[in-house]
Amino acid sequence: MGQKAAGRSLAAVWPARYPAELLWAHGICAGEVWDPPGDVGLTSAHLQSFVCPVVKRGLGLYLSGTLAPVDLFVFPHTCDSLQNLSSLVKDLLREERPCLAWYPPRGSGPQALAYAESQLGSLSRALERVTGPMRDGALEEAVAWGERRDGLLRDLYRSRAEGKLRATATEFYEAVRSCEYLWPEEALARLEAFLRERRAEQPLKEGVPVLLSGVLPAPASLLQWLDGEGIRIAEDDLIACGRRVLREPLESPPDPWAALARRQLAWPPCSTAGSPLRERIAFLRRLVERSGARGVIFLAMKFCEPEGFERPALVEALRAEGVPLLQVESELEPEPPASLVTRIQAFLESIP
Amino acid sequence: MASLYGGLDVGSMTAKAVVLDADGRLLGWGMAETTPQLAVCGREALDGAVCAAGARSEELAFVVGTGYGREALPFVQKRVTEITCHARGACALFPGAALVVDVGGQDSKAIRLDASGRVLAFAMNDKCAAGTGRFLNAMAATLRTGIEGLGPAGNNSTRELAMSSTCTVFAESEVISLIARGEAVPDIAHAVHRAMAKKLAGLVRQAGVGEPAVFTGGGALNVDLVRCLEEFLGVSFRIPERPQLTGALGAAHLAREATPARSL
Amino acid sequence: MKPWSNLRFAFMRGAGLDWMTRLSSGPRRPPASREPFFGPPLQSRHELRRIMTRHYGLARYVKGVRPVAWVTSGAPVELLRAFGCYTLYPENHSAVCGARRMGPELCEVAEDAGYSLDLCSYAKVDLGHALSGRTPVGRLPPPDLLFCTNNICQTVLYWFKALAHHYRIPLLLVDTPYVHGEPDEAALRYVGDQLKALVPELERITGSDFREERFREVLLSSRRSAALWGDVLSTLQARPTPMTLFDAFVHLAPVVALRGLPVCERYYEGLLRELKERVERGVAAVPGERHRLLWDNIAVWFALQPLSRLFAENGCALVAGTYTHAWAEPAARIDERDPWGSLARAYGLIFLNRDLESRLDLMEQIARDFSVDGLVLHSARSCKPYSLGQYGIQRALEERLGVRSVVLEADMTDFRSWAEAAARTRLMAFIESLEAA
Repeated sequence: MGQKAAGRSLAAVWPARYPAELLWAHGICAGEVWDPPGDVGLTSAHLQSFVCPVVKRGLGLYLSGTLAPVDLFVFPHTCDSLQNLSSLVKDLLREERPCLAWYPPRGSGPQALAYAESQLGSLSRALERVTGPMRDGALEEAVAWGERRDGLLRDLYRSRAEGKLRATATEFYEAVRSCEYLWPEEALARLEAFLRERRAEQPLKEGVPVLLSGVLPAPASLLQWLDGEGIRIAEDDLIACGRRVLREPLESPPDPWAALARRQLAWPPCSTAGSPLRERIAFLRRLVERSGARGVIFLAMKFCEPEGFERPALVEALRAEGVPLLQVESELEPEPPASLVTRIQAFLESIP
Repeated sequence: MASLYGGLDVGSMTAKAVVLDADGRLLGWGMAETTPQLAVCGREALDGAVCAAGARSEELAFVVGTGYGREALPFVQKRVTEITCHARGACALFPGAALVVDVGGQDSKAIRLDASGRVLAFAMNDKCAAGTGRFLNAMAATLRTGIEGLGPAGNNSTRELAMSSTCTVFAESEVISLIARGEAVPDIAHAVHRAMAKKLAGLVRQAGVGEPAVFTGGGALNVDLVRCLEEFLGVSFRIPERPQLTGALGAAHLAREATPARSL
Repeated sequence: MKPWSNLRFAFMRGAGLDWMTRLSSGPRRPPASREPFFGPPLQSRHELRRIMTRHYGLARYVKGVRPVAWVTSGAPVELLRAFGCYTLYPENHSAVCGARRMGPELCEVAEDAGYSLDLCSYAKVDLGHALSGRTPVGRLPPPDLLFCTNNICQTVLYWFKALAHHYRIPLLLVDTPYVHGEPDEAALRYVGDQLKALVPELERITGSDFREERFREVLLSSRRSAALWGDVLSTLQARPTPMTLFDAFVHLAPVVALRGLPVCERYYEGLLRELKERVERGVAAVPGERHRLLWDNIAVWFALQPLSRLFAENGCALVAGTYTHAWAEPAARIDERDPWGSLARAYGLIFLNRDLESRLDLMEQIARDFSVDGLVLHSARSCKPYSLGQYGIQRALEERLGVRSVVLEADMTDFRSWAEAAARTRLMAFIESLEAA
């Protein structure tokens, strides 16, 4: 709530990919709603049991009243469930604060780029109705923040992949995920400090390097447990984290709108996007190679359709190349269930 | 004289223990019902095995704990998952085993091994109880055959009934409606086994089918279940004499291998 | 080989297939004795059977003769028809598999390949078919290209991406942004621009030129088919209704799979004639019709018979549905003078691609037009875009319309978690509450 004191507005933003820079340019701090703690019992009057924990947790948070200080909501249309959630909040729960949509284009050609740019314009106009006209130069500044954040995340990820980062998974993801709720300047300062303090000159060669694929590095207790077992997450292909890090710098056109539109189509391949499966397979293969991961852990999210449809092909492709891999399922339980722990232990016992 | 090796498998329904000598010969085994005091029932099973071996606890040089209760055993020297233990146990009994199917109380698993007995891939049932020993227990209770009677009953089936449910709760109501329809108990039991074998076959295909194949865990005692799975997969299973002990046996072998050979 | 394939296809398309079908089906079975609580069966069902059998039957001979496209139900198929593609609808095929109670076995094939138990069963039935070749329609030709529009759900995109990877063939996507409130012109322009950009792509893949004349013909035919289907559904406003929604679910197949083709128009002209006659003669689908119900969501294909029987036994006629209605929607919007723009509107603005507020309005309108006194909301485990929000929709509609309603937890094809006895109890309690009202 410090954001409010600093004169900023607050937006609650649902997963996953959206132009955060545009919110910043309007003086809005984005707080992303991925896996908030809280009671999902409240959602049973609104959602069937077959809905994923991210949507349930998010609606649970909304219903609990915790979001009272929020000025507006942004719903990226990431999947069917989040798409319906946006309408459920707006049309059925009759939320009176602005509920804005962002539709990540699934296409990739010039039409998608043009549509992204026009959507940025309409989203900006909607934001102006909340916070007033955008300050001159604000968008250029926000885009620059976004690029710096990308650069820092890229460095962090590279250092970790090379084994040159002194950080447990818990610490790493606390730092990376601070971007989900901090004002960009604060997030940048935090990432910079983390990188400065934790970067090592020589590879540390600690723990068994693995690649983690899935939606979220959660629950926290699972990360702590992995840290305790000597497992080092050397790379990740998580929707919330690694799939929002541009592994290669993006050449931006000078016009900030065009730059921002380009960035919306430049994310790594994802199950929620239109990218063909072979691109995601190639992406995973690159991550495994550059991090020297000795195995891949697919941490599946219960009821997640986009991930569920892509995983079999990824598993098949990696298995064919002899990459050891494990598939486990999570519902974001506060403690990792014994069966999950056993599977990961058995997997480690089996890695050559 | 510490020269014996113990394996202790504390599962959700039973604790099983095995004692081996330095050459890997089986000297004795013990079992105890699992209670909330995991360490106590684990100790009881291990003591039983030591006693059956005609030995004393002090002679145990190394004990490996496994099973879902392994973390609760303060007296073991090492803890290894039941996947690795079942694989090791099956290889000890049937050298060259390529596939292990284990149906235990709360887990079932399929483990694919390479020629040297190393785990290549494995698959386990998801959270629900369908496809596990608990599922069989629930069905045996509904059909009133007793868990030992379920397999022979299914073997006597003369008619194939359709069962579609994969979940214990739904399957139970399906069984109840089959009973209400007047279907014979052997036919229902067989349908239950087919439904469960289908689910297990899915696990096996995830891990990879291979032969020689070994069926371990309490589920291996159910002849009809084994036969159904053989039909689905087109393989024939080897069954240990005491299939429930396979995990404990593997643990004991791992205990033996964990201790460097002592120089005299 | 090609001339032979062409010849064979031409022969089958002519008289061959109908002749073979007659041979293989043998003497027609006498009609099953109808229960007293059903009206006489529709005569059109024979023609429906013939054209759908033919549609799947011809598919066996088409490989190598014409490009085979697998298409999502909500895709602007008119464009493909202008390139002479033979189109097959995996969703329709999954429904057929569901009705033949093959859902679980095909889902299990997909699950063995690693697809989770929780994923959409339409998709899993299709993937199960792709992996095993098993189908109740004999044999389907593997696709040469895939055509996907995510206006009905985002899941079709995931599903078709998996198919594209499996068959190693091109996937053409028309991305249709979800509409909140009033239609967004920029989004519609995006849809139209994508359609135009597909023309050179399709010319390359199919090896044939875009025939604009043919395209316009198809557009007109498609509009006529959709309008005819709308007229067919309107006859259900009559009291008593000449057919129920359970019939409509079955007679929906041509407008899904064959729209844009003359056979589709001809079929609905015949069906419409029959229904109008029934209305004139007062023939009731459910004799003694006491309650008129609206059904929300796709059909429970594996339980059509027990459900239709249960409702009919109790004097309930299902007369309206959101799913059946969806296929009449494009009718008004297709305009051959503005093919790209109107196609974008027709497909970009279907109700499943619009917010729940407009769905509520639509459902309210349908409920009033068809004089409905109860709602049955099928909560389909498989279908998140259709089902998420139904609890709130139920409350809102009960309030707006002052009618009773029930939520039925089920699925389109997968009956492994279907508890028939529990469903029956639930529906009976609902019907009792209608009687009491």
